[in-house]
Amino acid sequence: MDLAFFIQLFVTGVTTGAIYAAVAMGFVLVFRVTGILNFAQGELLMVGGMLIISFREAGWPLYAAIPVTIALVFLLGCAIYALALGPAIKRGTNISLLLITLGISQVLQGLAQIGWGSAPRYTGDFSPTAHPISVLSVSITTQSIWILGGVLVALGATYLVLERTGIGRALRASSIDPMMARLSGINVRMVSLIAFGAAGALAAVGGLLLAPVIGMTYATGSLIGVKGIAAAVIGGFGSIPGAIIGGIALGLLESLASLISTGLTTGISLLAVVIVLLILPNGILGGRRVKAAVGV
Amino acid sequence: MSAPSVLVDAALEVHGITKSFGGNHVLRNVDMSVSPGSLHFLIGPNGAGKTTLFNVISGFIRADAGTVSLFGSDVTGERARKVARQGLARTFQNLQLFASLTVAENVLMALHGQMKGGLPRAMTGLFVSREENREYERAYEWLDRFGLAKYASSMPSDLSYGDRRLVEIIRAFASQPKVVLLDEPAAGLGLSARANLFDVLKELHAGNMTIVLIEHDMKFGMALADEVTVLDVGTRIAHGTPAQVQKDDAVIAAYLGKRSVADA
Amino acid sequence: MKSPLMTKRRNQHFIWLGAVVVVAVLPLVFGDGYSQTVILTIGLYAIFGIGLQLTMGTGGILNMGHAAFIGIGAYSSAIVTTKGGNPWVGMLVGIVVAGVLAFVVGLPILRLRSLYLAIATLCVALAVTNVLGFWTALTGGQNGVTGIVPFSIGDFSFIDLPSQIYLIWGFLLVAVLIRINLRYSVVGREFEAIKDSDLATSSLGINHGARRLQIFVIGSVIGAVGGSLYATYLSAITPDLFGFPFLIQIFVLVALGGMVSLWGAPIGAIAVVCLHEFVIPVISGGNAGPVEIVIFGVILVIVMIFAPNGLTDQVVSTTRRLVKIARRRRNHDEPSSVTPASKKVAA
Repeated sequence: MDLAFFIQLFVTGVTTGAIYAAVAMGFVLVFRVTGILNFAQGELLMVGGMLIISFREAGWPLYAAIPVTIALVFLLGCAIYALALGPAIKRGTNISLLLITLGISQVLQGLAQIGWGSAPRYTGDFSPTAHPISVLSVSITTQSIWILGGVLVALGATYLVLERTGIGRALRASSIDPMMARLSGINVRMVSLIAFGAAGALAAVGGLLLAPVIGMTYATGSLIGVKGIAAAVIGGFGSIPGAIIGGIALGLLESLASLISTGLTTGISLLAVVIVLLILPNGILGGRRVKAAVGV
Repeated sequence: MSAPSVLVDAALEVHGITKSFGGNHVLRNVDMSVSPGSLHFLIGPNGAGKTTLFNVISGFIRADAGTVSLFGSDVTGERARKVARQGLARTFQNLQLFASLTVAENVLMALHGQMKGGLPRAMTGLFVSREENREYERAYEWLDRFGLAKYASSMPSDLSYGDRRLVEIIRAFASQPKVVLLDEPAAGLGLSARANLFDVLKELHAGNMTIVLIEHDMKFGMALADEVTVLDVGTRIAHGTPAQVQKDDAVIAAYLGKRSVADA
Repeated sequence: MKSPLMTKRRNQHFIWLGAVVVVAVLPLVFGDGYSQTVILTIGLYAIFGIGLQLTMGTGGILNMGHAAFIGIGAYSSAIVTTKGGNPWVGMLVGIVVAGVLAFVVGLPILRLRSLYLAIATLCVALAVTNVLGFWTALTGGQNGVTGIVPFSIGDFSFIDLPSQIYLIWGFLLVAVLIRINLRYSVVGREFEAIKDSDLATSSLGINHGARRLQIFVIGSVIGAVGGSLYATYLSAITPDLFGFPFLIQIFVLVALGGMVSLWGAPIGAIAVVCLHEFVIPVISGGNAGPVEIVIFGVILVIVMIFAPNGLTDQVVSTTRRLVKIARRRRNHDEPSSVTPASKKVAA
């Protein structure tokens, strides 16, 4: 085993990790603003993947298909909040809200299976080449460049929105202290709606970039959703940088685990989550909650 | 000022409690000594650290330094439920009743410490446990004593806010604690509910129970109190009898400039 | 004075005895095989539901791992009986394995807060299904286990449908009885109370960590018992049976039956099994799988929006409120006749 081999593993790991990071960011964004763990996040990724496949089958060029896919899944995310979680959040308990997101994930899966069938669906690479590009005897597919680049662009856009825009400031304020945000006149419902939409857009980016790499099925989302949760947990479930680091770390970990056995990858993410939960049982959110509970 | 008698141990002795949250000092070297059977009034402007001190005493927050002892036994740093087992009961600023239990069951919960009820015993059996009937009757008597018997089988949400407060207080006293901490029991009550609460506390106090009270209504507290401790920005600035404290210059300064405490 | 709690408990016991009679005649009334299969399935699902109701409704634990514990019970029976063991031993193994796993898993996770608990139990679920699917030597991998031996007492074997109905519903009735007893007991009240306020239970000296662990173990063990019965009824099982769609079915069951109602699990089981057997085949027109997933998903969402504690609980509490309003209105109409009576009660 030489250096090139490990670089190869590293590239594969980071590519996979980038997708996880996109999903994990969505989880964290929604969780920080609304306190909801959105189990349908993985399904939003799946819908994004399915849509881009359909648009490309219909002959749309990428520059049209990509933005339309992102916009549609953004709207789907908003709709999930507007139709289901928004009306439920006032009377809801932790359990009921979680079950609602679970229900939504089932609805999306079922509809996807009815609409797009059960067989895996494929689409070509965005920039097809005859052979993978070879750099220093490490071969990189063009699609993994797309993935890395795409996720980077998405991260950059998210960063700009959060740091430079009014709605971004409102999002950040709500994620730090929803109560204070409400008191200082921020429309928390609107902010939550945007958070769900943004999480949908991030998932869509992950899904459309991933579509050429794997066969998309209606069930793809639930597996990647779990990976996204794992990545978010590894990152502490509190911060967006944490989610990104967690995603990349999980991707690398899986790529290392695939040396031993390809069946092990899921096990590895479970193990990582369990270890993190054991070492940091309250994580970052724990500290905040204890304080709130005592009513200081 | 009033040095505690050597013969009588303090019911609750707080010594040198210091607590800060992220560099923000909430309590600084606070001492408080509560004599057995007294009603101790803990006052101070908003943000003085009164509730934090309650949370430290009852084990919900761990202090950075200092000791807490109940009738001579050290409970410093013990968890809330351990402190409760040592005989400390409390109420909360924001009401903490069990919403899915009836009013009588809420009070009954306070009697659980004296009931057997292991898990196998709870799961099996077709018929009535005598203990359960007996203890229910005691819970009912507690309610009856304060005119709430008619609500025994109601849910807490069916009661007025003042009555809910009363239930929480009754629950605290029903566990037959050695010391009870009451955190703003009169907050949010109307005039008549407040008068009713005053009588209740007076009656409970007459039963020789040791009580520590936080309350914003000065007249309410001073009329009940035997001893007073005054906190300001995390430090104790005065302690003594109500009369002594009301004349204390530091206290008057802390409370709205020069107005006397009784008017505050 | 007899306490109202004890009266309630005794009344529940009378209802329970009534249920025993109903169960006894059920297979006699419904003689045909199909009806009996449906009745049997309802019984099984009700047992699964009671386990989840306990952990989720009573314990307030977001339990994503319930299907996995059912799977453990099922596979314990399957493995023990196909290796020549007694079915009762198989069930016992399932109880022990599920109980120990719930205890070990519960120790750290019960310190965790709300949503982390859901994630941790989800991990348990995935880990268990992974083991069931890939530890081929023990579990038969994706092909599962066949030839599971039914329960028997002496020479009598629970093979034909009526006797299996009696067996399963017998276990269900015991589970319901345990639930009734728990609700009106010291321990059960503490279970209810920890869900409402951790602060207040702590301030009363109650160890809510230990109580939550107990309830997690009890709920999981009941699930395992159900799983064991399920396996011996099917006589062949695969890991897919205990996957996500199955978990969703039980969630829907609890959503419809209510998180805490004592008889909610059987009610929810009737609803879910009837939907599955009668309603969905009619509206799906051949594509039953995904349509069922969508319908169950929609039901879950709608019920949880409008009745966060489950449909039955919502109906009960709404009725109670309406009755109270009606009574108050009547009291306003004729105050003279009511006041003396209420005074007498108070005195």
